[in-house]
Amino acid sequence: MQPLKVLNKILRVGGDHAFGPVVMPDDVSTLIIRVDVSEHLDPAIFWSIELEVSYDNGVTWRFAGGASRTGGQAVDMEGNPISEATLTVPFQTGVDRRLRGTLNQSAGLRLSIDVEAH
Amino acid sequence: MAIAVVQSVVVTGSSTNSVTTPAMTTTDGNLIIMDCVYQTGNFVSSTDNGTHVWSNSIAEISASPVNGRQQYTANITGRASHTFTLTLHTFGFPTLAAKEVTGQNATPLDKVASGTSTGTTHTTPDTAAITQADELLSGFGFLAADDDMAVSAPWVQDEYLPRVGGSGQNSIMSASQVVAVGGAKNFTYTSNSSSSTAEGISTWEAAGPAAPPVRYQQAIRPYRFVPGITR
Repeated sequence: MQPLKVLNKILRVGGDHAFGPVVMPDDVSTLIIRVDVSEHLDPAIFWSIELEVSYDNGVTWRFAGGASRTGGQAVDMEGNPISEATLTVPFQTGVDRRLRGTLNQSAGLRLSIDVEAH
Repeated sequence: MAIAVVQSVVVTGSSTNSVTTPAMTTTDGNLIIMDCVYQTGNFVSSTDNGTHVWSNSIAEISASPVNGRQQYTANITGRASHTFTLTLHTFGFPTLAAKEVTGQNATPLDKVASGTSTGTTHTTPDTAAITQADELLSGFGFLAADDDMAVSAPWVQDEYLPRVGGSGQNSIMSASQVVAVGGAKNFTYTSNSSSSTAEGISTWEAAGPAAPPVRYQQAIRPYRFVPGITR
């Protein structure tokens, strides 16, 4: 599955911003949430993401993982600047699966979110 | 009831302050073991949404530039949507694998060992001899690289998460087995290419057999002869 942009890179006000539901192909076993944090540099601004998964076409939902971040220049383990944060969770294969999530920002911020499935 | 791993979850992040696992439904009285990996000096806490108290079972070990430790809480209050969170002091590279164990003793942690290694086969030092024959062994290993990791029977892989998310992620292997024979124990796993890794093993005592029912015996008071009293 090609990376799917679930939130475009626009300025959003602080608060909750929902994305999805997204239909997941049956054979997907790992989800990678990629967040463009190239403009998330202010340490006073904080965001969190919560994912939910449905195994019955969206009738019921279950918490599927989360992450949070305060602002600053992202670097890799060697200290090189990078522009994204990631959250990776295994995903149970099967039919009738949906993914949705909520981004919570403490203040106005420009970022985007892509879902990559493996 | 035999000691056993009931279920497990794993999550990893890069350039994040915290990660939270997918939810699982847990059961009262069980044990949770969390394998935590993060970069050097960055650990703040491991927590859950059940506000349990967490303690180190394996103190911090290092495979520079990443460190890891194992934490646990015994005798939990189960939850329908139980999640586990690893928090760092700033954004970094957190990875968390949590497993639920049933059938453990009231104070289950027995022996631990940890170390570092290089190459393609990685083995912890031996623990001291375990206290009882019937114990669960829980091992974990990690590295700051893109590599394939594997365990061999009788070890069972509970969770394995390679560096699928790209630069900066850790790779973690979390495994377990139940042993029926005492003695010293270690944890062994392999990586596909020569890597610097850190690894640890902890052993957990199974609950003993149920105590036999208490038998109450009524005390018989001896007859006391009192002189002068006649019937």
